[in-house]
Amino acid sequence: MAREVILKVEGLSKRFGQVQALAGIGFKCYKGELFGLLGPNGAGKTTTVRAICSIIKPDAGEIEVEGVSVRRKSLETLKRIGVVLEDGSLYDRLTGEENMKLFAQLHGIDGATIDKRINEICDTLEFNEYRKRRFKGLSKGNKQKVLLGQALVIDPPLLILDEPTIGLDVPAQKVIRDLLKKIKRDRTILYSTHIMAEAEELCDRLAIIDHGRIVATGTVSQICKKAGAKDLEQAFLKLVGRYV
Amino acid sequence: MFKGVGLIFRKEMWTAFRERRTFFFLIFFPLLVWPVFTVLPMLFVGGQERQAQEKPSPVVLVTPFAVPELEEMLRTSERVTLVNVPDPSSAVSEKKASCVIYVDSISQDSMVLYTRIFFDATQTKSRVAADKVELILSAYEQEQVRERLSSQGVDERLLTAVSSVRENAVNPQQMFGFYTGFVIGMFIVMGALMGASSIVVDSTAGEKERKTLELLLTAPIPRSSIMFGKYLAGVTFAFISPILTALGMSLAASFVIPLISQGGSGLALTGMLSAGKILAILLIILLLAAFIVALLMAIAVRTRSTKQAGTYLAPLNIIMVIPIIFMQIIPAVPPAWMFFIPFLNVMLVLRGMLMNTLPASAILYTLASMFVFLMLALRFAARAFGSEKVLLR
Repeated sequence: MAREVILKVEGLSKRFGQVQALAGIGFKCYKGELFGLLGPNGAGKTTTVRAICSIIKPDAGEIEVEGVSVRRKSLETLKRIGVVLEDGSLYDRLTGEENMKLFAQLHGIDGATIDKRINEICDTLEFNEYRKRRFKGLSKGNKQKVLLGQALVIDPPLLILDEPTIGLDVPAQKVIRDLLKKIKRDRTILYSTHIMAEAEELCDRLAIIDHGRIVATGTVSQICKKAGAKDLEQAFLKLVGRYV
Repeated sequence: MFKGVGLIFRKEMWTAFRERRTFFFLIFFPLLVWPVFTVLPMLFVGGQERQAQEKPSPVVLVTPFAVPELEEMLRTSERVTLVNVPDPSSAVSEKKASCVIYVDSISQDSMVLYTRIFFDATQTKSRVAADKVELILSAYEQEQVRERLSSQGVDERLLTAVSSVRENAVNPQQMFGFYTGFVIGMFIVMGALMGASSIVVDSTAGEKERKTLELLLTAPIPRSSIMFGKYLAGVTFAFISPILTALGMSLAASFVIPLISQGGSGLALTGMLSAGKILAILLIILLLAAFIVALLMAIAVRTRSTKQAGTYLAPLNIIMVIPIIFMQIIPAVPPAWMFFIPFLNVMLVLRGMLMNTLPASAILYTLASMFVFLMLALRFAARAFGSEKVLLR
């Protein structure tokens, strides 16, 4: 039986002035899969995420979320996506709970459901102690939990996480990774990162992206085999042409 | 769409009211600081002037020869008090006298007395004293001329070909409107700008700087909803701030003007405007607020940080000062084209309403002009919100 495609990206291109940020990127994410987008800084990961989330318009290519075209019905697709952006932040003067509530309301979710989901998320994220504190006063790790919470509160079929552990200390990174393992069971996650260990530990499948192109797609073992490497790091360096 | 606008509006208002500076910019400054800083100097200057007018001013008479009639006139006058000081040249600077009358010389035929009034024009008391002395010298001159003509058997009316009295074409209320109208207009324009600046900059450049705008763009609502939610919050602030300013100024004027105008002449703002005029003023302030916020938004959203936005918006303050400079020389009934210039038209309309000299067409021109400029500014802002280059800058 064919697996259900949640996210389909085809021939995605985007140019910023002289820079070709994306040059025909294509991949698919299946239901219940944690799909990694692995690449060096400036490879085009964030541009891909921005295009999927309708923050930027691609020059060419198609993106579909649950079969709905981002180009034609961007608001419809955004209802299906929860997102944590790289270096993203929330409103300093709102509490963690209020921030989650705001994004749930923007997604048109009713009050009773919002309250129920926020309670569940705060339990899952072990965030109950801090939920009434203003975002500004939270630690970086707790801020990241709120960001994750605002993405989860809408209960999206597709969760997009762009470098969610960047800038966090080692224990906070571990907390986020453990949370992802907990929540990945029943949803599709597009996980953008440049950290090999994270990709290796978390991703069911991944795509290696460099200079706006996908250079390899598959499971970690498939990619290692394709590159003739003993581990993902070696495979990555070989595939992006920086292996010496 | 409207739900999205409402949510963004509520979020902006909620976050703004949790900021302490909002209280300062929206309530403290308009209701207290501006009226106090405007009216207190008026009270101080007015009080000094009144005191100088009411009390006899100390003056020194320096004369190398006897001028008994003049000396007697000065001594018996209720306006001045003759004082003796060891060094008359420093009497004014040391504040021992308000002014010094020097009788320099007398003509050979003893007909003309050459005098000088030495005073400090920067001091209210000294200025008032000089005016009083001038009046006394004038009365002295008239008395001397009358005596001389009388001794010659000539009718003094021979020297009186014309007798005139100055009559002001505008009544005291209109004079009050002329002088205060532009001050109130200026504070209303500045109030709208100051009230809106903080929230507009924070919700555009501030959101970009704190990296919250990008996440907001991933919400399933149109970008126009995001823009209008932020815009409405800005307009609310820009509308409330000048109204509170006008209220503060009006209250302060009601209390202070009677004090400085000796018992009150009923010229305070309260009761000067009919309900229709108040409605028209509110409508104009609303359009002004809407225009200023659209303009601020269009500029601020194109910047990367609140600091950069502050730099880009600074010239707006200067642009608004320009009409204030010209207000003093613009006549009570200005030419129609002036009502098409933004900011200036608001000040002219407010002044005209307080003076009761405003033609109905002027209000119409102002409303039409404000509406056109508002649409242009909104279009400018909407273009910025539709551009990924601008939003992700």
